[in-house]
Amino acid sequence: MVRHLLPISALLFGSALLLFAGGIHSLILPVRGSAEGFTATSLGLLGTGWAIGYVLGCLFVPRLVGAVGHIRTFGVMCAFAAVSILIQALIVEEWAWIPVRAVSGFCFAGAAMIVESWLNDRAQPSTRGTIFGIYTMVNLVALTAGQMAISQGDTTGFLFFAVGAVFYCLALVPTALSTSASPAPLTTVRLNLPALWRNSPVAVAAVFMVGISNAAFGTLAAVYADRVGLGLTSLALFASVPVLAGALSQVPIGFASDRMDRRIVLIAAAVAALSADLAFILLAPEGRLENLLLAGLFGAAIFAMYPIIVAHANDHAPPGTSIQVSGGLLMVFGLGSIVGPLIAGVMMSKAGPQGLFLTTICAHATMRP
Amino acid sequence: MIAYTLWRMSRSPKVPEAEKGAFQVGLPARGATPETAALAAGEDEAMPLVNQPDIADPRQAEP
Repeated sequence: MVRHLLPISALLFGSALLLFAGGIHSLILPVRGSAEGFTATSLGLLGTGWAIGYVLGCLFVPRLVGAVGHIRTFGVMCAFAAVSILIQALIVEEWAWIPVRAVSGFCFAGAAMIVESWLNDRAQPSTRGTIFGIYTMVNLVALTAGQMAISQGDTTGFLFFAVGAVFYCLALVPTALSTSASPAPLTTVRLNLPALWRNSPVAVAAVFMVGISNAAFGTLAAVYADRVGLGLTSLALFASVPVLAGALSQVPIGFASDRMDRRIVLIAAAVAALSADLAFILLAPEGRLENLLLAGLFGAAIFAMYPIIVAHANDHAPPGTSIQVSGGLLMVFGLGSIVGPLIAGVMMSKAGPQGLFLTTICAHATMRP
Repeated sequence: MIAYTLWRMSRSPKVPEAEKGAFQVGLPARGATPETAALAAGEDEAMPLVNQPDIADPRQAEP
């Protein structure tokens, strides 16, 4: 393990700092926005802005890296991410936050792509799985730590915006000091919808719906928690528990999907998500424990759906095209992510906190193989 | 809706076990990029996407 870790430790450390800052950034905006009286629609548009930036980052950052190199581009991404969170601290207005959030989505996608490209370059065929596993674990821990950090201080002032900017800047240090040569050019992705559809229409339709559902929850979970009266610590847990539950649930769900028809496993996950949606809508829980338990069930179901769909699509793909299929599905997921938070924000404005789950229940009910 | 789903599934056969790839545990998709897909790929697929054949290429669909 140690001999795998040492050569990539600087990259992992930089990635962890980036994800820690991203965790703070993703929660401080809805928390502070709610405190400032922003509408749910505006807070949903923050997620839409992020998703637009993220998709554009996946499409255009490889060209930037090709022009100026990995290290310089990574520095630019971290610098702009820091600038964006500081601008949001200085101008606390909905019209300013939404486009700036798109900039941070672009930077985040770019920075993540560069780190992953580097890891890809360092990985040997025999160590690829181990490196990916360690990278996933480090990112989950850092993201959760960033989200939980906001329960430890004042969210009504400048503090967490400044802390986020500090960590965005620190994230560029390990790669900026690196003396190693730049890796191979970044992965470029083409969104070829007709080809993806011919390969697996189920996967394209389902991944779009999962994009709507997951992005709506990822953007507005904190707003829901705030509006049902959960405290700051519970709010941070409400955002973190589903992500961790989703990471854990992928192990048994992946095991099952490799041994039986993946479509049945996908239906089972959708039924579990529907159950959680219904419980949130009909029971309208207000207590901390009920909300966290339901959020855990919800996260365990929704965060396992995407890898099932990708595996199903790859089962149908011609040999040697799995990365092309995965990249294309990721872009379709991104399109769903653009729409989802907007719809959920409008629904929450009209129907209250449960409007979030009225959106996700529609996405889960229409997602069928 | 459940009946319709089951009817649709019955009309298309499941993928044979021997032809299935492995499920890959990964990050929540909101934090994933095309590079994540490349990093998560198995040994036989681990090459830059730019070098991969497009799935739209009809020659790739031939057995």
